[in-house]
Amino acid sequence: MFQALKRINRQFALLSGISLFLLLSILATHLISRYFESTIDGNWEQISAEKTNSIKDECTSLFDSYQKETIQFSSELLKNKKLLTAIGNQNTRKSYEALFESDRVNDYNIEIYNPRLELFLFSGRQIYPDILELNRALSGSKFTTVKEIGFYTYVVVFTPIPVQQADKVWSGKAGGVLVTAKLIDVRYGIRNKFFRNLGITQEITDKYNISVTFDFKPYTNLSEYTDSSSLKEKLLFELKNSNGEIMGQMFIPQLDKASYILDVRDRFSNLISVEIFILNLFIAFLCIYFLKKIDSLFIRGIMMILLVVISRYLWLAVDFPSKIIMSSGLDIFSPSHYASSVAYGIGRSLGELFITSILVLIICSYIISLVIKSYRKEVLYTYTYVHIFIITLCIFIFFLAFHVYGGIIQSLVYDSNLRYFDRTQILPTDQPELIFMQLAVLFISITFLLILISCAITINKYSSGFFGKNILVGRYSVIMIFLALFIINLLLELFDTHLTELSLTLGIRNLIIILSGLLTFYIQRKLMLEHSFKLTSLLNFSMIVLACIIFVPIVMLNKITSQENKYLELTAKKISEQADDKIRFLISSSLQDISENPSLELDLKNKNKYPKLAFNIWTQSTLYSEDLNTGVFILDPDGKPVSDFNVNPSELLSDSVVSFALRNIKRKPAVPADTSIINPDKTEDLSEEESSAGDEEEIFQNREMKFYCGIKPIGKVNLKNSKFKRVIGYLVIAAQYDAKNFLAQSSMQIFRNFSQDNLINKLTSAPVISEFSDGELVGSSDKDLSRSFIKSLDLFKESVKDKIDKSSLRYDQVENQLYKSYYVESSPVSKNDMSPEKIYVVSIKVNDFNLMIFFFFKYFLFAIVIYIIFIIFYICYKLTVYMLKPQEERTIKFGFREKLFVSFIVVSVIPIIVLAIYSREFVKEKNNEFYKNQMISDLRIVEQYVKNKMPSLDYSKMKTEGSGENGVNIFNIFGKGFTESRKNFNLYVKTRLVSTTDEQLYKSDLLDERISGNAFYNIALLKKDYYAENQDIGSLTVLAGYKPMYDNFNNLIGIISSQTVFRQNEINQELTENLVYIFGVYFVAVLFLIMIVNILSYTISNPIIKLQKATEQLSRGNIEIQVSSSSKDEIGELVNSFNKMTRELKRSRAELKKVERESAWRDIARQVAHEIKNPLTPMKLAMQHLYYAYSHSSGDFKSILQTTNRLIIDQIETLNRIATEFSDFAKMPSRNYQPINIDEILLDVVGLLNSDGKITLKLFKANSKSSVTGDRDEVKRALINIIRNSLQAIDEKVCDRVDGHISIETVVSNGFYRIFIKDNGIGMDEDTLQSLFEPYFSTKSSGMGLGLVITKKIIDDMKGKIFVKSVQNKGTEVEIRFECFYFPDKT
Amino acid sequence: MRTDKYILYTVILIYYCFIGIQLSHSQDNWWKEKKYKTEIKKVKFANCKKTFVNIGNGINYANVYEITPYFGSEVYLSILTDEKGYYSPDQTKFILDNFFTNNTVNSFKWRNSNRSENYAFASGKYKYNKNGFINTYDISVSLKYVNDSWIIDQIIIN
Repeated sequence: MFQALKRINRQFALLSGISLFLLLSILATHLISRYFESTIDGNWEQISAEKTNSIKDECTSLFDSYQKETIQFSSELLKNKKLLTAIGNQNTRKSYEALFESDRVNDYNIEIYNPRLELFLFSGRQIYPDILELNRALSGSKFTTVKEIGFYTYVVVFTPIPVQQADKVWSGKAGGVLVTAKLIDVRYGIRNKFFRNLGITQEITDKYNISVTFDFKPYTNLSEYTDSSSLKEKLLFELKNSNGEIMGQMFIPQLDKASYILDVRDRFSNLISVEIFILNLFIAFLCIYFLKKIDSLFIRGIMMILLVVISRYLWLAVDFPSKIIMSSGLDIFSPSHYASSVAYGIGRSLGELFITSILVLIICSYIISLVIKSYRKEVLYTYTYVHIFIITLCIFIFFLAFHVYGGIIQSLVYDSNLRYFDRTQILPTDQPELIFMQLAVLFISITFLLILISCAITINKYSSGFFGKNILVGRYSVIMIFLALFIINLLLELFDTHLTELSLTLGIRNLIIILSGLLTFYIQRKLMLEHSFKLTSLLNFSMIVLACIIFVPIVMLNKITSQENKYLELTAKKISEQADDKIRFLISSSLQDISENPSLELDLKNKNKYPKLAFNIWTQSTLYSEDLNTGVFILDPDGKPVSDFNVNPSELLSDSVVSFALRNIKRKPAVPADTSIINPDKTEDLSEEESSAGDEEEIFQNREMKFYCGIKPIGKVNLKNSKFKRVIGYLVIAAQYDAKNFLAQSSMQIFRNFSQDNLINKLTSAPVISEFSDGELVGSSDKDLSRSFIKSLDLFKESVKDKIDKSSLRYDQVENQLYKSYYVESSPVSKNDMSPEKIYVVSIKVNDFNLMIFFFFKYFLFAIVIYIIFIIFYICYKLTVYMLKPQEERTIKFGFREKLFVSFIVVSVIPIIVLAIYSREFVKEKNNEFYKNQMISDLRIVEQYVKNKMPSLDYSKMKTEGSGENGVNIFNIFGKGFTESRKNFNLYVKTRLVSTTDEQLYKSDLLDERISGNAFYNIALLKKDYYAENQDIGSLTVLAGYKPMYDNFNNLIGIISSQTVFRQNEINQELTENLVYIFGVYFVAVLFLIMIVNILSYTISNPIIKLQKATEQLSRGNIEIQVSSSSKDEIGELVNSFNKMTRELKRSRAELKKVERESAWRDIARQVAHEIKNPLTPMKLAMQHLYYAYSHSSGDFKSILQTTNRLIIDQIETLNRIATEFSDFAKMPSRNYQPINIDEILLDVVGLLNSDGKITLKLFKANSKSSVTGDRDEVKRALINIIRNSLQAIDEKVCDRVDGHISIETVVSNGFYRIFIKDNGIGMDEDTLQSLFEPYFSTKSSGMGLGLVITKKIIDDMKGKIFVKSVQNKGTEVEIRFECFYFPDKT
Repeated sequence: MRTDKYILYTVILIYYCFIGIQLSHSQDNWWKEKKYKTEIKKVKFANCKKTFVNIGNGINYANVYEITPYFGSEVYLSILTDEKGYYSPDQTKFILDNFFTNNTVNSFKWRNSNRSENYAFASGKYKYNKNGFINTYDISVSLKYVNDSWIIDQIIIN
């Protein structure tokens, strides 16, 4: 007991010490933070200067590193002798060959010019070098410069190429110029998903959290900036090239003291939050430590929940770990992915939900471990009504769990903004938030399953009394319970009320009940068989995860598709709204914002800026973030377009927009500034009601083409000597309001940052959108399908006749496929509006089996990957623990079954994995081949088309007039049919683009107008018939195919190309889907194989393991053992012979026992006779002496009578004792085995024997509730025997005047109940110790030597152990050891 | 002399009145009052204005709880380039709260508005304090008329 206390104190002291230390360190951190703040305050100027300098140095060095890399690459290229020779020989083909030998050629843009400054070789994008720069390089100087081309910024290195052959020297000049460029920055709003993390500005912002700006404009003069107000707040630094020339400026914002101090404080508060977290952990350890001391499992559970909840809120208070994780760049704590205000902000974001789900899982695991513990305990209350109450409560919790779980998953799906159906990737690596969401769902599902199992186990425990002692029913009681739950579940469905609504459909509920039933059955069986069963084993974990993998995707899919109705409605209403006012507002505010921008006027004066001007305006305006087909057009004063950008030119025709806008603005002076007249088509009746319509912008609606456009003159300049003002240009903005905006989004997505903002992305599959006007189909994304809905229109009108909300959901059967459609009638806004009423229908497939399978497999693969990662961590942990063990303890035992299992798995699973890997490659290859073939056939058709369309095409003219330096003067030879096919086709003449189906890709600079260097080399120089390559647009990789066009004389007249820009998503989707199906099926097969292999290895190894266990039992003396086996093979025979052997052994043992017993009886009889004889002789003598005295009338007769009487009574007492001991030894009383508390028995025994004050008896109890199974009276007798022996041993020694004491201590550890009885009596010698438990051995004069034999028998029968240690004249120590909870009857 | 004094007082009074009118008028510059034929419409657009004013106050005092009553079942949010899409009211609340915390408001004023039967838009300038600099964002809010009340359809911050 003292030792136990000491142990407790040591652990407690350690934990408290660490906690105190942490508390002090928090205080210290806080003080240090304050000290830092005051230091910063005092030395701000110095700190600010140092910090700015360090940032400047970092930025400059980062910039220099880009420069150096490019210079180094140029030098490397020029070291290539083969390349130099080829350039010297003017051999383009060989030059390309030599160039492509370099590994890093794809990371750079390269141009090589010959001494006549003609482009000789190129790779990558166009660099547009200045002729002055080229001349300078040609004259031998090597220098670096920075160029802004479109929205890209490049660092460009000009290197003169050394002259190779003396005879080709060009008047002292170099042999050519090598221009290499590396992308260093991406600007404007085009920073879309492909360029999100690219560029030097981004790098610096990520590193220092400051917005550094660069200005690489050539000829910029510092004086231009001196009066700029922004410069006052920023520090300007010059960026120089290797020659010391200024290339541009860098502006670093001046450090703000307050924000710097805040930053420092923030860092310290981060540290403090970590410290608080660690402190919280230690306090949690302390609490758990004390929790173990509480006996009531219920209170323990409640305390644990409280502890976790308090910790969670404490973390929330100190922003742990959201602050630290957010600062590392993972934005799972942003509410944009998921946010909910349930549970007082416990799930404010996905990260918090994730952490909470882990904590809830921990609580539930703890609770189930308590439930399993309590399962082994005797029921506390024996009243039947208490049992019925507990069972009812558990059933209620069981079904409540379904309701809560369904609700939680629904809330997760409804409140999250994630794309659950991303078909481009198997694992959502592009969307890390989805990984956390799916993990959180998995954890919550495991928690849910654990709650179900806990309920079922408790019901099983408390219902066992009702099943009686029928073993069959007892064994399968779990199945019966789940059958009952199943029936209750079905009954609940019948009572379709709000109270019985369980958030999950009946089928899913049944599936979950079956799965949890199987798991509970397994756990209950294990609980019965293994007394040390723990739920936290790898096998149990795997089984629970497997069950979750089966039902979680089904539940999620169910919830996602149920949410779909909401999005279907939202989409339909959005489309029907037409949003006239919104578009008007958008156009007018964009016009206002753009025209207010002073740089627009400057840009308009610079003709070089024209090509990309419209695109830049578009990216900077709000139009960029709208779900609309929009276009920006810039016109010169004469109304001629100079620059335009149109998202979808095939839908919003540029020419119509411009002419419509111009037509309207010309009408304007003739009429007063009243929108109602300017815009005759305006549907609103506001003009009637409003006395002064305040709109100043000119917004016109074109009903025919379904677009709105706005026009605004730019920069009115005063004309000399005149009151008139001159306009320098017009800005036209157009937006299409057609429902088709929602249909073809692909072209828009290319230019935008996000795709998740699109409503349609939230639907599980692509919807069919139809627009009906007066019962006629006027717009559709799938005409055949849309026509099928015409017949439902009247029914719809009928159904919404009396309703205010003219919309409804309907299910239609079309082409044997069920579609759910949302119908919305868009009624005219006013009575004056004569426009026909329109009905919009958005339809989507219902019960899409492919979709279900895809989602199931996708989640399945995700869970498998997570499981494998977990297993790897587990193995690493186990290995570490194993390595830390001492050398002698390091043994890994692989049993027969494990070996069998592993060998089966190796033989069966490995081929499947190999096959899966092979299939993956095969599918990828096939997919690529398929798209390549498709591209080739497409290109063939296009080649024919181009040849037919322009038989007299003057290619040479196109070459010269085609596109200039920045020009996009492109012939439009591709008709509307091409644009509708959503395939991109381009025609190149020589190296220049002359015609394309998607101008906007080139106007936005996403693609280069020059043919790729590789393609030119392969097609023009190597004369290949077809060439395909992968090209990168930021992080998007697209497939590009090229095909040459020859004239009748076999001269190359052009190159036709096609890029999968818009279709790349589709291609990735198809590949992913194929892979998901393949991997999904393979993994399911592997899972089944593992199960089959498990069963097989179990069947084969089980008899052998049984035999081995039986042999062990036999060696321990259990000859009753028999092994059951139904197999007829060698193992069966082995089992039979074993059984035969044990039977033989049993028989011979019985015979031996009989003989032994007879001999023992003989011995006993002899001994008893002898013992009886002993008192009989003195009795006989006494009686003779009495008779003699009586017959001789002795005068002393009275005293003789008294002596004789005493003697005889004494002897009779002796005889009685002999008889009692004999019967005690011989009799086998019926035992009453039950859980007994030995501490209580010891207390009785000590009270009984402590009456004598000479010897002190001390009892140290373990105070444990653990019990031992045995007979209470027998145990008491055994303990009395031992303690009495100790008392007697001391009694013998007391003569030597030594104080006697006996200490009795009980300890519960490792599942054993141990009693230590120590005395300081006379002790025993070695011989006595040896024969201590032999019958009739006794050192005492009185007694038969049967006491200890009886004691040993009692302990042995309880499967206990007794050990005796003794030193003569010092004392004896007896240890009795029992197993806690042992059911001798069941084994 | 005495008359001059009176004239001066009158001029000052008129001047202040004028300034006062100007000021009170400038407050409402963003909302152009119109004459409505029916009382229903008048009330409807008065409600619309009130909604915008309340939202404006919410933004001005960075108090998201003044804005939350006007959230519909889904709100389209576009905050710079970070957040974009349809969000649930809970999400919107947290995102806006986040935005207000990161960009401490200095002042917010509606600049202009536009309205029709079922739609109303307003945009304003949001001045905020970040790293010691005062910068501006454009905030535009669009309202939708659903079931006799104006609810927020979109919030765009650029």
